[in-house]
Amino acid sequence: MNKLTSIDDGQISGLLQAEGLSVVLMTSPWDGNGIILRSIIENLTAQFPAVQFRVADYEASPRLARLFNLMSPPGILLIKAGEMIQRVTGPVSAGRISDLIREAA
Amino acid sequence: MNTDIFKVFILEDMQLDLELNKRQVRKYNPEVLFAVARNRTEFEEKLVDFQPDIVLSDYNLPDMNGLEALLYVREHLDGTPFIFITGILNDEEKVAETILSGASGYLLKENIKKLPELLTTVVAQNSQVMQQREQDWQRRKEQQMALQKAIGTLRNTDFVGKDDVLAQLLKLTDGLA
Repeated sequence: MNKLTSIDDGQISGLLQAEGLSVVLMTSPWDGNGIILRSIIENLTAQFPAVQFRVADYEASPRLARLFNLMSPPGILLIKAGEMIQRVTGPVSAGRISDLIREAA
Repeated sequence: MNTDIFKVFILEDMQLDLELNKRQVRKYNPEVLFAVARNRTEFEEKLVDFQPDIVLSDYNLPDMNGLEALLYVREHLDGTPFIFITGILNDEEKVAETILSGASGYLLKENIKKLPELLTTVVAQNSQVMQQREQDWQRRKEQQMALQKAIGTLRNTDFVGKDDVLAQLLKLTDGLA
């Protein structure tokens, strides 16, 4: 079963080398919008079994934050074969995230 | 750089050339994140958000030329290194004009295997600029985080004029982003 998996700076290499599409949510415990986005993305995992869904703590993963030029959480990043396909910051709807995934997959 | 991962923005409309560029960049540094634009719209949409360590650009694109791309980078990303990788930049005057306009270097596509060597040189020449950008980014991030946390605390506190204060602080965070 597809699920949302936690990553940190130690998994950046694997993220960049993955051939398929990865969706990374960067958030923090104090980030209200990020908490909502986490719930939305958890619900999307079943719809897109071929996509790898990841979540990273913004403050515990400074290299990831720098890599994606994210000044503050939340941020959603779509990466495929080492290329950043999309970068979305702030609140975003489930429908918009689904569309971005379909376009990138 | 604090992060040893290399961020490369490629402006190239030919898929084969794009893949060749990526392959040579990975020889220079396998830990690389790419962003790609194939035309002016994608270039202007993605460039600033990505904040690359370096830009690699073709010269002739369907709706813009490389010099326009270079000037856009200089306007929006200041000293970010910029390399032309092109099939036609073989006229000496054009090469001189390109370098004088602020490019960090150029490479003919037929010599693409020399890209790792050129990257080594350009990154070394620009290390001070890249370190300064890194420090600036860290400083802005810390300011943004402090502000976001303060807003979070204020949201949970009742006081007169709360909505106005929060609105002003949110404007400030937009300005820092």
